[in-house]
Amino acid sequence: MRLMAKNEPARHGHGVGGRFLDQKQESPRPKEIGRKILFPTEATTIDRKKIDRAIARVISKKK
Amino acid sequence: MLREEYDQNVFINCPFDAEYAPIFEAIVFAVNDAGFRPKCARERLDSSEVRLHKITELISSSRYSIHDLSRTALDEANALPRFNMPLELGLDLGCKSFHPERRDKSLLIFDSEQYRFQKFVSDLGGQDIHQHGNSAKTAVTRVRNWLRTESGMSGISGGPAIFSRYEAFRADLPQICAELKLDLGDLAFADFSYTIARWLQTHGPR
Repeated sequence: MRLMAKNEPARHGHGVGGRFLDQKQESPRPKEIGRKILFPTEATTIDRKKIDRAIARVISKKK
Repeated sequence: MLREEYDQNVFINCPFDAEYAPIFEAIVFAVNDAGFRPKCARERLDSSEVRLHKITELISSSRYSIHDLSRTALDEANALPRFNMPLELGLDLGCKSFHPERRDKSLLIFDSEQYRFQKFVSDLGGQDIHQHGNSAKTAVTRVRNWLRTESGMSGISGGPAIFSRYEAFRADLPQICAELKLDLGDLAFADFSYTIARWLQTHGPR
């Protein structure tokens, strides 16, 4: 087994696919994003329940 | 701010004029449909906030940003270009460069024509600038493809499917506004975004 040089960066994983730690760090990609509908965190100017009811009425009229 | 929220936010730096509204609204819809949260300077109505502080906060809290430079043109009244969009793009690039926890930011930059930006911001040479050709449909597909690639998420619908849902939403929107006794133009950004999200819960692909 080859010994690491003093300043040689450690590798992730094994074999050819290993990455150097000092390469650009990628943040983890949360798996839940992109799969569900997200609502605004800012307050709406209209009561959200009123919007919900308006959408429900429009949908029910189409049925 | 939670890391998760940062990863979900998409800051939209676009013109707010009526002529641009069809593209802006389609982009907001596409971001929502892809499962992200659109953020925009219009969502904050507090007049006590300094505008630039508000914008820097939005930039810092959004991993993804869309900057549209396509309306950088001479103003007829003043013969000067409106430079808010390039300024905010510069702030975002600065945030990505200098903030150690924001190096993973991803930007989608639009301009009206390929290489036009090199005439007024040549320092952007080397950046991948995209065109939407003033087409809402093209803008939706470009936004969708960028979010899909940059987030690595596989559950995002294709551009044509998202645009088809957008057209259905646009068809329902006047009736939704009528139910709320509002004109379409009266919807604040947060109201518009919430309406899209709620509508997608019953019409989305998921």
